[in-house]
Amino acid sequence: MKRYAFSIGLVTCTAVIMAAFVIAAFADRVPPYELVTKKGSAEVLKGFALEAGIVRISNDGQAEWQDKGALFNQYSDLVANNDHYLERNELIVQHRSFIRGHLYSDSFYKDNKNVISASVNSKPFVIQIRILEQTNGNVREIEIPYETEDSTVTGPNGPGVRVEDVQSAAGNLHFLVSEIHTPYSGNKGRKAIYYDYIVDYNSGKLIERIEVYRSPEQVEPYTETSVSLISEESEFKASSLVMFHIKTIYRQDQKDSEEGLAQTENSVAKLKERRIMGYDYATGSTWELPRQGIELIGTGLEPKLHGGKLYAYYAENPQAAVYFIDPLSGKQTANRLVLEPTEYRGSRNIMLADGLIYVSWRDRRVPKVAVYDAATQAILYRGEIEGTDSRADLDRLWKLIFTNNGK
Amino acid sequence: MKTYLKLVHMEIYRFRFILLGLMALTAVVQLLGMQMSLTKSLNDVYRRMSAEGISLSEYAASYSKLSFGSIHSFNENLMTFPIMTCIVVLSLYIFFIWYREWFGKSSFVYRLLMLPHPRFTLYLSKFTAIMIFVFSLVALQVVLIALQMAMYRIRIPIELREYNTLIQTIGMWKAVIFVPVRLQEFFLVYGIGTVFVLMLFTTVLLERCYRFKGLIAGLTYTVGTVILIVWIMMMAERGGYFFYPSEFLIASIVFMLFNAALSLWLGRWLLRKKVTV
Amino acid sequence: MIEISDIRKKFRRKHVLNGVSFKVEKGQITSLIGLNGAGKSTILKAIMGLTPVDGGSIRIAGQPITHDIYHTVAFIPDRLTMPGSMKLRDGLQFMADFYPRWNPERAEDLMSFFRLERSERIGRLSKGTAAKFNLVLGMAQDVDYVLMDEPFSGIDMFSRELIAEVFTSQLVEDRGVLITTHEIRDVEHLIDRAVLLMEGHVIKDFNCEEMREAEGKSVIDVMREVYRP
Repeated sequence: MKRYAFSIGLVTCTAVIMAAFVIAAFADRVPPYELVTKKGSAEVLKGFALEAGIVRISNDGQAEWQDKGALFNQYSDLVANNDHYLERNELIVQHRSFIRGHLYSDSFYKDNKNVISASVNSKPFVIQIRILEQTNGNVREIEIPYETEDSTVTGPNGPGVRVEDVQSAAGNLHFLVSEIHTPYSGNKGRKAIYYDYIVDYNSGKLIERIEVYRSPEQVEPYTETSVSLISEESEFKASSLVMFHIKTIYRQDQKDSEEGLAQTENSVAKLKERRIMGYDYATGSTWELPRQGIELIGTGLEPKLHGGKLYAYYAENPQAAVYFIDPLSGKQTANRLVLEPTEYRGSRNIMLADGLIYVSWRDRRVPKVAVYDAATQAILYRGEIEGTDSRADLDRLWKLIFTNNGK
Repeated sequence: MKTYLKLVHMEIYRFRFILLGLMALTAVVQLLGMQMSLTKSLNDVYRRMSAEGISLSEYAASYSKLSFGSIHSFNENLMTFPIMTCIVVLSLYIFFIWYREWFGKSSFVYRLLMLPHPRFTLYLSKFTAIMIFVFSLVALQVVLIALQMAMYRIRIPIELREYNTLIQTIGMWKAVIFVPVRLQEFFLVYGIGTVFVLMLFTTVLLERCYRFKGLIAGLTYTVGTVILIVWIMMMAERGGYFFYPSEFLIASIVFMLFNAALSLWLGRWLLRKKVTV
Repeated sequence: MIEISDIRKKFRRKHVLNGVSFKVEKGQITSLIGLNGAGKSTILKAIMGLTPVDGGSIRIAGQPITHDIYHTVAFIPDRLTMPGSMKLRDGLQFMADFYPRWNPERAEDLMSFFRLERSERIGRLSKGTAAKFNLVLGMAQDVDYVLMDEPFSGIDMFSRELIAEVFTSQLVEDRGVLITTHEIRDVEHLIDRAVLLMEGHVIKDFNCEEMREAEGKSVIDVMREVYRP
């Protein structure tokens, strides 16, 4: 037996150390945090989770490591019901075969009757639409050809064409398609066009194509018009309207380059004009948000659209409030909702969903969560993150992000 | 069974000096590297403290703490160098563990093939030995991280320390792929490694039975499998394909299991029927 | 009985063995005779499962070749089969570890007989000493058959005499022995059967005693007839 001392010793030591390692890993398999409800019911958090770094806490209060094996994160295709990383998860879980192969479609829509996914195939440009009728499980595929405008400045694949939003209004399907021409450098030829492709639900034929917005010609030097879409915060939910946040910016490089829009550190950017344009899917009409709305947003707020209403807030500031603006008149529809201050800049996260306002922040080193009813501003839920054992370090959870961030 | 164990012991015993050498190299380089990183980090802190005339607690309040990870990754390449060396040496030994029986003045292969025991025991004992070498090095790595953490606790003052468990520390390490902390990961990484070893073993036997043609066949088989797996993994990562990523993963696993079985069966058959001295 | 039937082997397009058939019986010493490259070593290796054959069959006591035959057949090749770094005593220990039919007492006797030093390293042995050690490894097993490949090749005269002595001892009496050799002079008086190989098959297969009585020829005479007509 003494002969085998080396081998036995080697194997034993290895086994013991590996066993200890396994035990340690097992002990560490759940993060030492939990969400404790202080007021109300955690039901409001159902379907969402809070992420802070690699810790994810779901509405039942349980925490789990988000890395799921950091090496193989991409292979968890979110089949598990409690993985709320993308709203698309729910779709995968509920309609696994319909979504198969179309996980990364541009845009989705879901209501009681249908699940719709839309994407644009390039070369040739075709809008590909798939409709799942929930009542009978039929799947329909519709293809609508798309012609891009001529342009001299776009890359080898042509302009970027994308379905930004899918809605159903007045019995028809609406597909908001963006066509963006981006020059390699500078500003010449930059173009953004938004169309509403209205499709008849039954026949699948294109009824009408409305040009909702076209960016103006970039004639003035160093001037750029940027447009960002304000669409419904919940990706799949219905929304009768969509808005466009259009900013005209004057940007001059100190070196006075002729290319314009050279984004060097010496650029001086000045906002020349701000517009917010609304478009109603059902009627096809557009309007401008009146000045008082623009001015309010111009104080540094970010506009968000949810449930047909316009919200504005800037979550990053330690002191923040949520403003409620009527999208047509630009007037405030209610008093602003002042949020509790957060410990330091950037540690607050706000999410709008299901007519509720979800807020997370840090209050004197404790991460907290509150849910408000958007209509009444009543607090429906309060919660706190607590540590469960000595491993916990609440300082690490410096920002809790609600995961339902859609696109 | 006893034959198998005796053969495993023989393989371990023959390799003991190289194994101990690799262990010593890893321990010395990683511990010394840690020592150097600790010294440098502390010096930086002290220098800043004296430049600004602040005390330790003032420093801790205004600046970020010294996490284990930041100190450890300071000499990152130094830490991973011995790991790479171990991998290279073990990879070469996957071949050499077989070829050494044929080459040299004496042909031990005669004796081994003439043992009155199933020849597959030979295959399994060599495979077991390789796996023991691998896991003993993994175990050593775990111990070294623990030692490095102890060094960190000893030298870094408490005001600047950030607490992490051993598992968390390993989990945040760049080289965590060698010491995966999640069960599925561990099985996946070392499962793939195991299958790879089996395929290389069978390649060696193919070469010994069919010489050059066998070598080409074995290498094609091994390299082809690797390429296929990488391709599937890349498809899974990019997404957008008909199959979900988890389905790609399952497909890969099934494929690897099939390969393992094939390699074992083929190796056994080659040893029994086709091997030549 | 070891029965070799019609075995064929091709090596790089050349038919080394082209239908070789003969038998090895217990209690007899059979010698495979042939020119260089005639395939003698190959036949021994084939019997021991150390190289595959392309056709034909080999049966030992009626059974095809599996790892079990190593209980009953021992092979003493023309080279060392233990790692050079091992000492002689380690080699003996190895045999004791893995061979159930290893006979330690006989190993002792043979080691003394050949005057081999246990603490010597295998890699450092001279050719003659190595051959003797090989013999120990092979003969100290309680087997029914012993195959020897060129037991005398390159050995000095005195060592040869020692080795030849082993042949006449009881070690060999009830076993079946198959040897290949060039030095037919050394063993002519010892062997019972001679199998002559040429061009991949058996040209002549005869009992030496009978050949001497019937035709008055020695083995060497027959060899001359066959190989230098």
